[in-house]
Amino acid sequence: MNQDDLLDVLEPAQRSAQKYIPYPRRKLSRSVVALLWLLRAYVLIAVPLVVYAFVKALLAGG
Amino acid sequence: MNGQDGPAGEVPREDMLRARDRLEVLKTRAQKRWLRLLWLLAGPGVLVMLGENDGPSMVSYATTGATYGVGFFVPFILLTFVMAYVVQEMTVRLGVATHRGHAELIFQRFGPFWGYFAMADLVFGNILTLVTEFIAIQAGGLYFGLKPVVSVGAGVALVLASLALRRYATWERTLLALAAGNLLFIPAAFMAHPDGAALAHALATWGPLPGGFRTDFVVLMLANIGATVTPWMIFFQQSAVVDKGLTRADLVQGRIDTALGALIAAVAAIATVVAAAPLFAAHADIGQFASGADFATALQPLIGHTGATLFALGMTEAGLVAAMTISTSSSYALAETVSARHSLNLDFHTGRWFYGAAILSTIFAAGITLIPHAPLLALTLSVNVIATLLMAPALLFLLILVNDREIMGDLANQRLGNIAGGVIIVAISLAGAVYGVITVFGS
Repeated sequence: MNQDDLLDVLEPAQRSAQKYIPYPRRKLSRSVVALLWLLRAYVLIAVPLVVYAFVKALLAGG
Repeated sequence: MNGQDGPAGEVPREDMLRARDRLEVLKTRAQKRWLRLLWLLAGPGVLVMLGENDGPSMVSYATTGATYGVGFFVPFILLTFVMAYVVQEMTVRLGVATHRGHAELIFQRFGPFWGYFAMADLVFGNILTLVTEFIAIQAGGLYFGLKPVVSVGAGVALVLASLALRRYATWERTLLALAAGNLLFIPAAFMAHPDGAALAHALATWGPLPGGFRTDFVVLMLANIGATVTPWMIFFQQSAVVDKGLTRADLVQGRIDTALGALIAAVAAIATVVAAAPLFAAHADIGQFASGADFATALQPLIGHTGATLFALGMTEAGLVAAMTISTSSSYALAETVSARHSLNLDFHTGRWFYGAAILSTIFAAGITLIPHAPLLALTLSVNVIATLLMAPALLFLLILVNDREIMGDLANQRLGNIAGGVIIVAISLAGAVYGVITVFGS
């Protein structure tokens, strides 16, 4: 089997030439953007709380 | 970059290696050798699930067993693995439908603004988790009398050696063989002489739950969720499915691979709870434990030298395999973000961004663990909690992508998948909110 025959077993989208061509950007609806912001706010509030609890536990232990 | 790193006209090594793997799959499918086909196509699912049974996860399960014994958390852990299957199956569909990694899909479909947020979550979570993997390796080493610098150094060397394989299929099979070490917790559990009736009772009644609803219960609940579903798993499995070359025709095997991984990992996780349960019966004060090694040491008089040794070995293996998969997850995501080539089939020059990310993150994380007097056990549990909190936005990106009919076609999510995904996001967010309320206002 030659090289071209071998490469034929790949779907076109699996070959490097096509795999690295980007998809077009999609339009996000307002509700999706709102949800993304909501969860972003959630992370920005929740993660510092864990860090606070961690530091508090450390200080209490030390 | 954009995949144009090779000389013009030359067929990329990545394509040639993937084509050879695919040829074997096509021949096997034509011969209708279904078990061999499953063997060829399995890997990303089992690896991601056993990879997530990592150092901090096993410490969370051991802490659960030592704090609550066999009870509520046994069926709860099973439920978290059902959750993990629901989430990871979506990544398989995304991978076979688009042949793109998760990070590049987020950047391409949502744009760089949301892409960088997603990447920030991933990098933050991955670095923290990688640190805890080396904590587990160090802990296992301490049990065997190895100095931290020796065990951590050996861990780094093995992670780098795995990258030097430069062949996805070989890398995957090597890691699968290593990940089998996760099963060491099963004989360790038997050496704890578990009460079968108590296990059956726990599964049937979701109890007992000694002490009831307290702060440490919520922390352990979040830590156990974080021990099963985390953002790196989404990025890793989708990229691994693409790197392995799975197509729509392989979806059934991809799902079986994921389900099998979830089942094996759930058994190993519950075995860890059971193995550590004698500490609960003995009223051991695990608050004084500095690392996972202390679990093995404390278990020695209760489950014997062999059982404790298996426990320590399992802890080391869990950290090592996860260090390999998590650093690779970072590599895929970073290279996809900068539109560089991303595959374990690449040579070092073409894949310099890809391999560079894994090498740097590994060395950085390993270095952190060598800082003297670092509070390693507390850090380990906190990392799992953070991983859980970061999961909610990661799941939202996943759900939106898997409902995107322009890229998914007929593989887009059905109503049941969306309900399950939505429930998981709400449940994780609520658990995080309860944790926040308890932290701020006290228990």
